[in-house]
Amino acid sequence: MEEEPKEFLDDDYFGVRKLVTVKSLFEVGAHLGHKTGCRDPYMAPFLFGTRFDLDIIDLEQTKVMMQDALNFAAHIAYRGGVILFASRYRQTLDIVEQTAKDCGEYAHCRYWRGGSFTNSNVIYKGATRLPDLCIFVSVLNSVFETHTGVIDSAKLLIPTIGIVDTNCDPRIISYPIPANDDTPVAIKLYCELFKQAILAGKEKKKKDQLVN
Amino acid sequence: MAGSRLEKIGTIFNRVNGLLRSGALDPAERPIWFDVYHRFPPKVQPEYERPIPSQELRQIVYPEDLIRLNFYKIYGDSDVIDLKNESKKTTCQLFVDKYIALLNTAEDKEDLFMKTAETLKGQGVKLKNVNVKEVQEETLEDTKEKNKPNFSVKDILGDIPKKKTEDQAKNIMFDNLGLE
Repeated sequence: MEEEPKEFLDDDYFGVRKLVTVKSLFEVGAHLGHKTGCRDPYMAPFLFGTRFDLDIIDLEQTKVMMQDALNFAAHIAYRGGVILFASRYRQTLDIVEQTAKDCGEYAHCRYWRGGSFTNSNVIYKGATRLPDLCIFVSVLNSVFETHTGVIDSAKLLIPTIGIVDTNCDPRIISYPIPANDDTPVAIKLYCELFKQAILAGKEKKKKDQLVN
Repeated sequence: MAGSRLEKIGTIFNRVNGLLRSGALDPAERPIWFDVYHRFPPKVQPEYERPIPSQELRQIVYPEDLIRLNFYKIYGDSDVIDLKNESKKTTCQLFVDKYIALLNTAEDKEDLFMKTAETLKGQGVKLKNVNVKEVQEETLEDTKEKNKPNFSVKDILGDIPKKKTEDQAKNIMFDNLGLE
């Protein structure tokens, strides 16, 4: 049996869990879902209740799932993985792209050509390194169906983190985060959290390499 | 990397684990996320095949909802709300706060709704019942009396000279000619 690496001994090696608070999520309206009629049935366990036909997301669960996702992202960054931010939500496209730029990773917020992952060697004319983690800031495409990137990531054994609103299917997303994905301030908060987590992972990586 | 592309079967972890156990994938070549996932698995396994969860959800209703309902029924919504300024309370919220305060302090809890309204009106909050139309109880005479002008033509035009008689007219004519 291999010895556990030291970053696995601590549950919160990068200190990202304390970044998330229910209050900060509440203030940006992360709890506000869609109308009951739009609900994806698989989202029901993550809901707190309904208020006048509007689904309200349980932020206590959101907090824990966000912490897990941030921790995972930080670990991937720590191990030098390639991270891809993806979204098809035009209104927040610039925020997502800027976030990816700020943490030295990649973003794909435009039309997703079929086969970008599954047929990459042909499309990019050569062996292609695919990302090690995909972060979907919005898991729906422009016609409110599951983003092809989510399905293709699952096909190609790439873990995914996704903000799932009450009208999204959370099933094949490895680390779903139930939260409102339509509000720019909320997206800003999530992007900031992802950025801090990834930068924390990279920071720790630099430090530990110096020590070793 | 080898691997099944059937995303609806099992989870990504199970599929990679299967490859490792069968020897199809060299442990040294396992994806970098594999150990992290193993150490920090998600709370819910990302499986496509899962039973549909119960859709029974609680209804979120607060006691003050009833007060709000009655308030809007009687007083309507006349507020102009600044969405960027959350410190300023709406009239309805003032009403709800007052109602709850009175509910806790007042000894006589009869007709608390109207009492709240009276208290707020005393504090200078404008409350107008939208269901009662203001009826004018005025007769025609009252209206005439009320609308009577408080000025006369004289005030505007000054003294109007009286109509000149014929003699005067003649005199004027002669005066103008300079004759005696």
